[in-house]
Amino acid sequence: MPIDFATLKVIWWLLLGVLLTGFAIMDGFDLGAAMLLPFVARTDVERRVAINTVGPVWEGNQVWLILGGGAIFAAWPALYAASFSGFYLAMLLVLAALILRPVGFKFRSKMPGATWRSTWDWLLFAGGLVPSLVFGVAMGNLLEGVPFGFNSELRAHYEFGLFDLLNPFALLCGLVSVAMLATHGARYLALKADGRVAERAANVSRWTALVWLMLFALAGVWLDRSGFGFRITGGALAGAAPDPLAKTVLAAPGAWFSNYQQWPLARVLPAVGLGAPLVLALLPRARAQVTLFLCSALGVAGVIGTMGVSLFPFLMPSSSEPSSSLTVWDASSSPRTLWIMLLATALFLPIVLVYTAWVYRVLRGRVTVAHVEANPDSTY
Amino acid sequence: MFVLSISALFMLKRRHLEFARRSATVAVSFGLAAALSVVVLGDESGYTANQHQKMKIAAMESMWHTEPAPAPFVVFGIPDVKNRTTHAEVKVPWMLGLIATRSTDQEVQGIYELVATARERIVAGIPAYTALRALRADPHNTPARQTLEAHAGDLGYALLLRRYVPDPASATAAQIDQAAWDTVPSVGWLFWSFRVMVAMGFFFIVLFGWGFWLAARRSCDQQRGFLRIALWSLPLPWLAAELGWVVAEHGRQPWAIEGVLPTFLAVSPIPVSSVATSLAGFVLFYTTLAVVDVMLLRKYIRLGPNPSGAVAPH
Repeated sequence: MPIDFATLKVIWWLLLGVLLTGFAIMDGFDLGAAMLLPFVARTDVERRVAINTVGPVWEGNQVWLILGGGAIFAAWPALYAASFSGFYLAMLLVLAALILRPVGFKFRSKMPGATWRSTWDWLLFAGGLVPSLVFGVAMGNLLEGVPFGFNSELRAHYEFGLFDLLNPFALLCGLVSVAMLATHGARYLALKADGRVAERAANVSRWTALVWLMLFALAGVWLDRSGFGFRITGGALAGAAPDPLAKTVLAAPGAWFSNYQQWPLARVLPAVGLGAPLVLALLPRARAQVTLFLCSALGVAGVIGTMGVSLFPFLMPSSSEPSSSLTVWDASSSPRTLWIMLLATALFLPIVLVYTAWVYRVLRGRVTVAHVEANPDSTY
Repeated sequence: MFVLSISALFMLKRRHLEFARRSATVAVSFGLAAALSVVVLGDESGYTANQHQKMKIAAMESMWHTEPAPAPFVVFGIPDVKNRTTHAEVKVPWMLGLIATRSTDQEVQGIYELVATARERIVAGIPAYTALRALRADPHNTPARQTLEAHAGDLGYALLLRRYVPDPASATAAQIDQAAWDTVPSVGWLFWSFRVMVAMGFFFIVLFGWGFWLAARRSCDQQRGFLRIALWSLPLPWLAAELGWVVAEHGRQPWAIEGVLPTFLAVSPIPVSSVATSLAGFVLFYTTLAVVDVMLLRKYIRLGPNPSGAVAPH
């Protein structure tokens, strides 16, 4: 292997960020569009227009989540085990919502009844809202630290339940996520839907962007005042064989801001996370729809990047036994696994990006009421 | 099967006859090809299973003792787990030996012999476990490292003792014996699941073969007996798949990874209440979805192949 272990770990941390950002941008807009469905589309045909803007792409978008989960499984097995087991019921809630979504897309159009359709509209709304909220809540809990630890055999124990996760700071982060993805979904609808739906979506995006901006700023202030933060104080080196118990960690209020002092360039990320919603709140009705959509995508990347850089090198800090925290240095798989997967990623990620770009090129243009009405057999 | 069953329903009710005849022809052709290829896949699985999961084969066959090569296949029998024997066996000579080893001179090991091997490997694994603990305390302990390397392959077997004692080194002979017998999965479940699944597999070949012959003579819609059987066979492939799942997953117990990690050590430490909640949630969720799904299927089967004349679906 031409790359040393510590560098490989950092590369995989970056790739994890790329995959999660990819998920938030790609699946984020269809989660957001589903959340807005009952509000920006009033009549049945309007709702079908909104659904059909994401109809051909939501399935591919969701694969980013599976790819992200798969990357955590293969590259960060200790993180996979601790987060999926620790957040068990929250994960299942997300899973149930994500299962409901495809069923909603597919079943809604199978019966003509108004009650049937509006039931599925609200289930689609829940299918968009619940994952967005829970992912944000999970991020909030990571910033606070999660009460878990390992025994000497590296078997984990967790001292929290589903309702402990729903604390005020985590809920605030959940709302940041909801406002952010709603904005992103609204910008997508403004770009891809037509007529009244696109108009309402553009109007909604102004207010959701404003909420996103204010809540994200509030979360930053709260983080500064709260004293959350952890720091590695000694133990194993970055290139050592991964062992979560081979280091010592202490709670260090303010530590989540230290990376921005060390690498001032990283300040770009929170700046973009705040700047993008500001632009969207000021210019919701601008003509450059593609630019506005890219602007919200950039904002999403800024928020997720802020999250990652603030925590670095932590992945999942433990509040009850800080030295059991999982970090980039001690939660990865072996150098050989990381190297083989890096080669596979270098080969396949460009292919994925190329065919994704091609799909969106084929599907360019707006979904119109006329199109949906003329093609009952090929639209939802 | 689904396509054949619904086509059979249409033909029984004398509706959409032309469409049903054509779709039944397609269904029996693909069904016959698929049912025949399952035999090849099954043969391949039997051979691989005997290479990696010998206990699974022995338990599926309820074969308590090694038989002289080539081993016979038990077509029928009543496994008696308590007395560790099988009653009223009907055997086909040579068949299991040919399937599992593809030879006439290799033995297929029985449960007693495999348990004896497991007991030896448990005993051999105990020093590896002790050495691993010594290495945790002191990573530079060279003798411990050598012991671990010598017995690493049997470490998983020593872990089986963790069900009975916190430290395998202090296990009694009776506990070692108990752990060795733990390597036997539930013989009754495996024996019956496997036999019913295989019987269904051969039934599918006969049914699709019959249908293929009828379709070739263009007389599918005349044979009401065939149509009725085809209709009521609708859930059988699903049932066969579930039974195959039981054989595969039940048959590898007590291992999450054969010979390496026992299932009871592989489970995550989440509370039983969480698992119960999730299970209840899934049952409720999927049952609701299944009800809605069946309702939609019935509606679209009633509407038939060209629904645009009836209620617009969109």
